[in-house]
Amino acid sequence: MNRKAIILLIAVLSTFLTSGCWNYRGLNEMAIVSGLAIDKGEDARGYKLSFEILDLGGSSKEGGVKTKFVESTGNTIFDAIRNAKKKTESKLYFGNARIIILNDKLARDEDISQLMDVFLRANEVRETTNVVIAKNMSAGKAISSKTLTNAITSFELQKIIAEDNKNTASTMDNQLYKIYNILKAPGESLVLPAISEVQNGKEPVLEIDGLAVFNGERLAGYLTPEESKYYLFAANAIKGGLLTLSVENQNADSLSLEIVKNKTKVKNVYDGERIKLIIQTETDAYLNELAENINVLDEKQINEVCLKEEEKLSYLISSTIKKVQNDYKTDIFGFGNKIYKHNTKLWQQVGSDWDEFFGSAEIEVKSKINILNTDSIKKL
Amino acid sequence: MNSKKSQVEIGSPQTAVLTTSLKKNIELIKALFKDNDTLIVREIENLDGAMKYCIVYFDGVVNSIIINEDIVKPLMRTDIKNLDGTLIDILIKKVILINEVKKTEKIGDIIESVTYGDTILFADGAAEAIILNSKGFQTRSINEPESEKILSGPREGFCESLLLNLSMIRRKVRSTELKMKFYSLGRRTNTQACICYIDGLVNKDILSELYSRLDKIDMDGVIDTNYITEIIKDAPFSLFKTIGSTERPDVVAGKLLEGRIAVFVDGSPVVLTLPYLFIENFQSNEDYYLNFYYTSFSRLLRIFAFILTVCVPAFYVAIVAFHHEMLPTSLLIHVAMERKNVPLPAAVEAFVMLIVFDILRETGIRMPTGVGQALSIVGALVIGQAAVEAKMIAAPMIIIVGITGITNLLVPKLNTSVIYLRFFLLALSSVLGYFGFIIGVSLILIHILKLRSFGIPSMAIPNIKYQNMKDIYIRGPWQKMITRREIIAQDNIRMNISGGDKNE
Repeated sequence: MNRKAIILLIAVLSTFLTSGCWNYRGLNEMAIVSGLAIDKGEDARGYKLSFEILDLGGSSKEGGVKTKFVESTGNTIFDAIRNAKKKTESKLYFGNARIIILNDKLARDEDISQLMDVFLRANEVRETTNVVIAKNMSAGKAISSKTLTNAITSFELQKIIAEDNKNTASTMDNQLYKIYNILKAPGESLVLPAISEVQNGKEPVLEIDGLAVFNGERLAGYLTPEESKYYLFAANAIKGGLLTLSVENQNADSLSLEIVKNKTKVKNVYDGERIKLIIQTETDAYLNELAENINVLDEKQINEVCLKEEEKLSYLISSTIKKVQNDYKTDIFGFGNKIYKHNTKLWQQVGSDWDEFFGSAEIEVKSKINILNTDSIKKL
Repeated sequence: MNSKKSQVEIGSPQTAVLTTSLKKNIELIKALFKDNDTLIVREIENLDGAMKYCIVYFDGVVNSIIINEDIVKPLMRTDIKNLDGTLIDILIKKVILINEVKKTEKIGDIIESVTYGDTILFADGAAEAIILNSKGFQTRSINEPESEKILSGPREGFCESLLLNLSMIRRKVRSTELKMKFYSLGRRTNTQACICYIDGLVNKDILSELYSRLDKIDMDGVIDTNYITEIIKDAPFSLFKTIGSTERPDVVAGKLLEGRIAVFVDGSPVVLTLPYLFIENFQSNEDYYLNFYYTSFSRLLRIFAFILTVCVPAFYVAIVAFHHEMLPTSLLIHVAMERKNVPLPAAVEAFVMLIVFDILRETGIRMPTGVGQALSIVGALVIGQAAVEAKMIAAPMIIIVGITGITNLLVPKLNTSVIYLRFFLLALSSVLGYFGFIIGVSLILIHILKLRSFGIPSMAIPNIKYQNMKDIYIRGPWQKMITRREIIAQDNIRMNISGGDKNE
């Protein structure tokens, strides 16, 4: 063998043998964070962070994974994250963190884009992490409270939020990258899911509680779960959920329509002074519950149900929009953003002062309901 | 061509030539095979003692009945009165009752044939000898090869006798185009080889390339086909095969019909087929005997298994040690729990377990049949389970090694390469993570793409055509496989079809 080959061999071998393993980090050398909560520091300076970390002590054969909580404080968020290492054996690992809970007061007082900066900047944290506002309690308490299955709170909470839109339509999940996008998009404001503690039997558990509305970078207020549903209609984001109404029964709703598909179109008319927003929704629904004397095979009666619901839905959507207009004066529906994207000329006139234009905009809602299916029985 | 090598001279006796004196010829033979007690030299005279003969053969490789009845008896009983023609010719034509007879004056020929079970007849007064076919040695019976068992299809396998092997091919391809050329290999062993091909199909360039490579061989012994495989194969130091080998006559017949060349070597049941494309590693003869839906699936499985068996340990180590975010959370939790209490890092663990697996596998092969397999399974179970319970090895690693081992069994033809490639990728990915893994995979792919077999690119990339694809990843139905691969075969129409399908 010639000298060159030997030298090459030594060179190649030494890269393997002398350099060690680049970036090697065994699974046993890290504390897996499943979620974290951010509160204000106690003396109103700095931050207090609570992490939910997975307790890997038990064997995987024993079923459920338990979690532990670590609290730490620091002048900045990253400082607090690093300070947590003082208490834990291994460095925190954020690659599987699913949720970030922000305290209500913190979100009102501080700029959310600055709070989120460290997470968007870090390479470990996923851009798909959900961000949630804890409504009437500290974020730390929220993350350490129990969920129904006693499993990992963060994961369960994330799943509840992610699947909500399809089933109950009471909130809207927003992930880190979407938050960034929305904050940077002209003519659109941020909403985040809100959670609060409720009593379930004797135990207190976490429940989704509508939406937190942001004005610019700061929290402005909340929408109730019911309002959130109409928000989803207006923002063309609804994927499921129920509509209830009554036709003859005056005391309570006796019909349920399940939303299958919805399409919302927004038109705008500008007369040089005020802007008029025309919102048209078309919803396909199944009739799932019918506690009234209606013959589902009679087209006339079904049409009557549709008309009744159309009327109700358009009223509720417009009243939700009006509430946002009056109380928060911030365009969480992204109407402005649509103008920005599709009608540049108009945007040049209204864009600089969009929140004012939105606040004073005239709202007209037209709803259309198609009942596709009335399920399997004719009449009870 | 076939006698070229036999003229290589060993020792002084071979420079000698036959003389007319029977006595001298006998002395010559005895001198050649000195100290060789199995040599039988039998002198015969006919009834009146006028004619003197001598027959020479080796005990044990001849059929004694043939020698007694068809050689010795007629020689003894016959008087040759009028010599019209030479004595040798008369003996051949009128006396000897043997089917295959050859006269020679070359000592080399005599040595070659007497050692192969022929009987040599010397006659007094003739400077020539007659080689008489009296072969009669015991061969193994025709069994199904252990290494290439199939579910359905022909079950015969080659054995150690060249002629018997050739007869199996002859029976399957009964055409004048089937050529079988003998070729002698090995200076000391004088091993017969046979190059077999179908004249109308074979690519002549490949054939002449084969001959020129064989001509360069100057070994003193060829015991098995692998002796010549390693010498004549392209990329001799590559981990991949560039010459195929099989123990089944049906496979050889199939390959011949694809325009390939087969090389038989006497004494070995393994037959070489060439050229060898990379995809043949995943093809099995059974693919053609069973329903094409089924076999297409199993061929895809084999390709998938190859990828798995090479990549899985490296992939696992890269995930566990570098790219945790790639694991689904619930899996990550359980893997992390298992890894929490084990002493070795995942990379070292993988190396150790793979070596243990290879030891078990090797033991399984060397053990007597029956015991071997049971023992290796039990060994793996006991070692695996005990190691996990004693917290020496994390449980996921056992699964990884299990997958690696089982998928390995699906691609027996790639055994050699798989073992090394696996460790190669594992080493790279335990240093550099996926980055290293991708580098390793790229290097392997570059190498495979570079491989050639007798001038034919092993991956046959320039040969991608609709027709050719019908027998690569899947096995198309027979009525649709109309052509052979034109880079291998000369005449590539396999089937004449009627109707408008021809333009396919």
